[in-house]
Amino acid sequence: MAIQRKKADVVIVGLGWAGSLMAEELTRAGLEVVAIDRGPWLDTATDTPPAVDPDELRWSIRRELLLQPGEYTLTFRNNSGQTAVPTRELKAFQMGKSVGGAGFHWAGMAWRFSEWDFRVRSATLERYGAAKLKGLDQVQDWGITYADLEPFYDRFERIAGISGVAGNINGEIRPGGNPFEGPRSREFPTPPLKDSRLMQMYRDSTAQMGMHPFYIPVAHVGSAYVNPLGVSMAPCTYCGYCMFHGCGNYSKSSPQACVIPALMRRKNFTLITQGYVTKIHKAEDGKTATGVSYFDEQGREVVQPADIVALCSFTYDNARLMMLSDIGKQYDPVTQTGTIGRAYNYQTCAGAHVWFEDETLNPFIGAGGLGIQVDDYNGDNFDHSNLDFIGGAGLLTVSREGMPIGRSGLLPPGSPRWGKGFKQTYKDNYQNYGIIFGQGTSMPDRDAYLSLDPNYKDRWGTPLLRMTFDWNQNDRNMARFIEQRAVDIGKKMGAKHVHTFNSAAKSWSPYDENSNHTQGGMVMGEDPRTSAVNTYLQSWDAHNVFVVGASAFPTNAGYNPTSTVGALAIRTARAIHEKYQHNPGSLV
Amino acid sequence: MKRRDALRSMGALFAAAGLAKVGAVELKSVPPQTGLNREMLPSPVMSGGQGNVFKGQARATLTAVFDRLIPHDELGASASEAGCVDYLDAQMNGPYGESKDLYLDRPLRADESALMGLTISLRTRRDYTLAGLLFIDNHAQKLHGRAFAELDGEQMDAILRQLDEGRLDWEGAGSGSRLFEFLLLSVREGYFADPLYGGNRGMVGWKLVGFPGARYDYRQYIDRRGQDLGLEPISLIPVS
Repeated sequence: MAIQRKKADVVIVGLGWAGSLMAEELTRAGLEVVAIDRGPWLDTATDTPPAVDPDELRWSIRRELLLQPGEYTLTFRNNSGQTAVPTRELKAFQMGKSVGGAGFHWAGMAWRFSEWDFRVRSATLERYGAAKLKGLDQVQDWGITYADLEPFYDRFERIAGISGVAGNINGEIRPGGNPFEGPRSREFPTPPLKDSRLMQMYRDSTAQMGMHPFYIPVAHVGSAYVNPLGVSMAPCTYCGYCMFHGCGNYSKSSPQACVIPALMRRKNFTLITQGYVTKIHKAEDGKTATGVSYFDEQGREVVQPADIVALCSFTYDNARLMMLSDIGKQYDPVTQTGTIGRAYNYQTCAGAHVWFEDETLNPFIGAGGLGIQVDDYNGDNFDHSNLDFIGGAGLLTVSREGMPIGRSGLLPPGSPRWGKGFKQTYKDNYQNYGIIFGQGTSMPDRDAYLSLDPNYKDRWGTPLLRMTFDWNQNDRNMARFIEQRAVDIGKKMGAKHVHTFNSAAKSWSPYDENSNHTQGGMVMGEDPRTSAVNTYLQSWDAHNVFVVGASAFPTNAGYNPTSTVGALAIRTARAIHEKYQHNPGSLV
Repeated sequence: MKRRDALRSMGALFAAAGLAKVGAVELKSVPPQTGLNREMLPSPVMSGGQGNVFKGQARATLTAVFDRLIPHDELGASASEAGCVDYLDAQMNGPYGESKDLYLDRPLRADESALMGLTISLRTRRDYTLAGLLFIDNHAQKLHGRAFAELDGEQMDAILRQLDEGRLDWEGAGSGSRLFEFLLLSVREGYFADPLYGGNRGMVGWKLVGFPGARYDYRQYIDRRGQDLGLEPISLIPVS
């Protein structure tokens, strides 16, 4: 017999960025909120202080802050004709394993998507005509615009203390910022950090090529800062132990550093740790949900009733829990009907490793997102009339490649990897390596989707999520183009060796670690036939279920997803407490 | 697996990964214990090594392989002199060697390796490494009638080169080069990880490339672009 808990106004599944930002809005509005996270409590000062954090082996290589496949994994195949097999080792699927989710170990790049990214279909039709969308029939608009989301991006950036230089304030283009970005209402809350030598070289070379380099907006605060929730942060110290690490300085923005300290002090907020949610309960009429079930640490089934269910559990479990709970119709790639699992999309990456001669780059000085980007070949910032694709990539360099185990594998092609000569080669190249990384758009495709696996199960006997994905022709073409732009930049920078990479050059596998940015599967939109949730991330099939996260992105931009996740979460929470709670029903 | 067993093993997983601190609890405020978490502190490996996993012939083979991958030369210590064998022994004696982090459920389909693009083994890392070293040793016996560790350097390199270049398979296509990559990754980890894990003795790996180690604040150095900062490395433990 399951244990019954007291009913809450809202139950939130997963306390990462999306869940904590939702909880902050909802509790401030007076709602009684219970959040359930599958991981244990983890905090910055007590768990990753400077005595623990600067450890490459444990955090960067073993990745002990991440959810391991032994606990949770997905099966994978490239197309519907194959039988999927499980992902056994941790590579591309990088979920958090504790409270705070992936927001604790992330690298920190904090982008707004461009105006184009929200309306890829309409904008492409307007500029190039219908022929340009041939083979891209699942590409669709988000149903909201950049302008709709701007206030919520702003709120996320204030809470997280994002460091940056505005390129466009209310339509006025500003020096030093990204001239291609959508209009911001004001400057970033904290100033930029300083450039490394590599960043200066990248700025100089791309500017000489006529491009527009700018400082990447990043979640490493640029000065001492107190956020709107009253939480204090300290300036980043460039320690370099950042991506896959915690932060012992209160400098990297995370749910723990920015939101949870305020949240935990509110009487109407309760957090349940190590609770593994397995199901959303449907009401008898089948049109709403009554709460969720989870297994607690002792293996007991517990029911948490609630008036509103908010899934904030990362792209994968957002879709999986909807499937396991039989809410909505699962996507069928043959008939192209159903929306649950539809339009999974990824991040198409290409670029170049470069090696200089006689540089002293001091690569150990850095941070997860400390870098320079050009957006001249991102989104639709360049003319695609004579190109065989839509979309593009942000081309960036980043100062975070100083840790010596990882770097020992980044030697110029043809140099000795072991034995005689290895030490000398590594010594000669340690100060001379840089990366030019093209982080590209990803368009949905009819055979790229999420479903339940028929063969493999988790520890509870529940089916694993199955991912079906491979690169589509549009994205392959885009990646080839971006790869060449990276070569141009590398040569201009004076690199002695330029060695390209192109993730889309062969079929993808989750053991290829190009990016952990995975989106879609529960996409938002204006049409219930082609979207799983409406523009408030409200399920079309159960109006008191909200599915919040990158699972809602119908297309992916050439940027990291987190700020957009944060902005969507805040927008949804505000709609719930301003409108939905007073008049439950469809918000559109 | 029964649910209770599954949950018990999940608890063990958290413990293995050092995240066990607070059990499944209902939290209404920030947990009161604010001291540094014991489970988050790493466990140092004493030099000399325990020899728990690699004993006798396996240890001799591993030492020989590692010292061909990173030999002693004018730039410094060999892998075994730097403690890399002790390092891997300690790693294989813990949760990493037991592969607690991997999903090892069957079936292992015949086409899994082809679909995933790399050779999959369902062994734990400890069993995998021991079996791989035995394979290398047996191959040396077959070719030269002697244990791998008793070959001369050229003979050892020839076998390692065959593995590296995918010309010597062990248990299916691609398995030889995957074994080689695993051994190469392991020796690099030992040579360049913090000395507290048993390798990188005297911080030889860090001194080789000029990595300053466990420092945590470079604000006073960021403006000295392009300069050799001459920073002495520091480790998370004072002696190694």
